[in-house]
Amino acid sequence: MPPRPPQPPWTPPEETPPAAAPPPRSRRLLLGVGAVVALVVALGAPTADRYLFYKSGRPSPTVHLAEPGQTLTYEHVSWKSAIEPTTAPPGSRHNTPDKQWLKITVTRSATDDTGAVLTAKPELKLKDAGGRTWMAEIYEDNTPTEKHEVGKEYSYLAMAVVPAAVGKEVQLNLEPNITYRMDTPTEKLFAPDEENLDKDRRNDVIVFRR
Amino acid sequence: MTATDQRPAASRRRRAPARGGGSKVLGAIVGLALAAGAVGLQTLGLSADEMSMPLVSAGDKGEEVATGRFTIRVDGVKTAKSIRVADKTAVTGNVFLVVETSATVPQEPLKIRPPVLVADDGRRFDTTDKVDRSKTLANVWSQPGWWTSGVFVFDVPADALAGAKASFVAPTNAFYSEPTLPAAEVDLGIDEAAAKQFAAAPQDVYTLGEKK
Repeated sequence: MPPRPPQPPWTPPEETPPAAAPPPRSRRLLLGVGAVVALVVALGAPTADRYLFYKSGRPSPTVHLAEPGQTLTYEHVSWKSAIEPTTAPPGSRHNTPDKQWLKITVTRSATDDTGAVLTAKPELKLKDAGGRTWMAEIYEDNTPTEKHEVGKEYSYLAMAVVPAAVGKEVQLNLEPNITYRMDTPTEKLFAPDEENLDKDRRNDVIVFRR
Repeated sequence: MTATDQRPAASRRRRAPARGGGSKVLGAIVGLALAAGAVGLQTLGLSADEMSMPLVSAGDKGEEVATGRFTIRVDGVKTAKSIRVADKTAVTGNVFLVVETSATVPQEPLKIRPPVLVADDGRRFDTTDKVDRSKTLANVWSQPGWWTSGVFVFDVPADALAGAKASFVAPTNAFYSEPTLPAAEVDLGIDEAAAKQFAAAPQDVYTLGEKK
């Protein structure tokens, strides 16, 4: 994006028409306020414009909280999760005692026919209270490639490694894909999806509390 | 800045009649000077190209070079005639420059983008494709709380070694580019003597993927 060069110099004089005998103090005040306003607008407008553009690609997350052990239904799919500590796999680069391995089980089930075709893999991350984030990699997945059965539970198994100090505190953040439908014909895969434009712009995160 | 400078000029012009014709001329000159200054200041603004350049944190080999999103430390630099990965060996007529790198992040995990080698004379080199990218640090998540180590390998002519720097730019979204991405530029600490040594006596084989 090209920067908009600020054009402040002509603003203040225009705001003060030469009156016959204006009280000098209030005019000076007006000039001062005009100058400050011009400066703020000149610096603020391009900044705000760039920030809005930046945000348009990275929408702020909408958090959906799931209480411990509870199932949360969002956009035609019910989600459930469990985290349990585990030991480092042999040969791993993270096998020191200051790191805690976690095994994550995520269970999903479609609540209706729409949910049955929303089969995309969610993205799993772990977050501590300070906002530090760790990746969880799915290593086992028993979801079928075809349509899911409504009401049937499928699960993902994932592994993550976090510092041992936060092993009991990190919460699973699950980012569901609410737009990919497995029944989309191949030729339409890259076509803009008019119905789902709003959903595409969303950034939903399901947080499972511990 | 220019906006506040305008204020005295404007009020001086208003007061001019009381002091006669001379200060009218003075006011015009001051006004013109201010206008010229304001126009001149615009040339100091960043161009579109400059806005898309990264915001660089610089450091030396062995130092932790922190940007807002990741921290890089170059632990060592080696040269080799060939690189062995598993049972495959890559060879070069130039020289392989192996940059042993560690990385960590303050908050969000990311995969370090392969750096660009900037030679002293401005030539830029990408990492070599003779070495599988999945065996480099670019394939590993750098996460908060610990350092992750790996290498990046360049295939460069020997005369590019002296004074070379490795420039690491933060990974970004391909669709929504950001202005002034954070970057870390690390001076690899190769002086003329070291460059000669590196070029003259590279290791025969550098084996990747042994140490973790």
